[in-house]
Amino acid sequence: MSETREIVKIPAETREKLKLIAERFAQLNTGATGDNFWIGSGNESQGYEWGQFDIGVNRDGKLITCDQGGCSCNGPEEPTVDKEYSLDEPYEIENGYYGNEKAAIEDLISTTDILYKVLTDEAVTPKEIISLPNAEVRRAVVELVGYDKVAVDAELVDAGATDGRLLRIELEGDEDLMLLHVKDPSTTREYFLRVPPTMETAKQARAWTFGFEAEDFNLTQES
Amino acid sequence: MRNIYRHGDLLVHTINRPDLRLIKQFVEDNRAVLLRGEATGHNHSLNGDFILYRSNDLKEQGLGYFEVTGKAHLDHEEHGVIDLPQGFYAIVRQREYTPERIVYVRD
Repeated sequence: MSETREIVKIPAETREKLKLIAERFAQLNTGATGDNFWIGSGNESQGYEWGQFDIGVNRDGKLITCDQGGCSCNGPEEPTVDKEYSLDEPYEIENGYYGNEKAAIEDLISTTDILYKVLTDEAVTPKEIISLPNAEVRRAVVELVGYDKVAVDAELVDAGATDGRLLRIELEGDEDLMLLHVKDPSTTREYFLRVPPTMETAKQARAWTFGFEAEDFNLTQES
Repeated sequence: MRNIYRHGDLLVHTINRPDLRLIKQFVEDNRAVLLRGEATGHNHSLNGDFILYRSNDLKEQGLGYFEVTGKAHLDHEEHGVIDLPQGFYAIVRQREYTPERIVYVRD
């Protein structure tokens, strides 16, 4: 489905960092089972067809990719490994046939930088953690570094009865970071979701994440 | 009043049948994966007696629509089962804010 054909590369520095992540990703309790850790993802949809390119590492220290696509009637399934590459060799390949490999690699590079810092006990800022594009990986990182590190200097804007907490973190020279801190009732895992800085209540913020106004957001059931 | 069911980062809510040209989707074994987690590998699936639709309007956002015609439920490896009464539903994916753009929540 990709129309652009270009060569995409993974910098040597990222490949070195990925070796360590491959060794240690089990420390991140992402709820994933198995030997593969999918880190970057690039979607491409045209009309009613979807495509997704996933890239990550496995426990054997190999770079893994999965390029899949189909009709919108059947969403993507769990990625399965299409190809394996050595992390010692520069990864150069044409763009994914279905998914967007370039976007997946950009995602991989930025996520790898932050995960590497976390796994080597380097300091990470709340903004870096919140910028992790995958909410599950972000949650696992928050759990590893501690909630206090994310919520440091956070101001409690509102605590909802069932909608979590709305937090504001002021960032120097940048837009405030407005976060909805929620606990999933099924898994009891805690997530931080970024919401617009105009949010005033936790309920309004939670409703916004699903495209609802606060007054219309009354759940019949959740799980 | 519409009924709203939240299932992790997926939400479905009852609606009147939308005034759009809807195209029936092929579904195998009475099961459709509506959304899957990349990091977790876990899927939100719709199971049972239902008809899955997408809109003919390409600008339509969202994951589509479905009509529960008999017994149907939402399922996921980590969330409980939610039984859905008969009716017409819209599928919504949770989103979050970034200063550059609004993005879907990924897990």
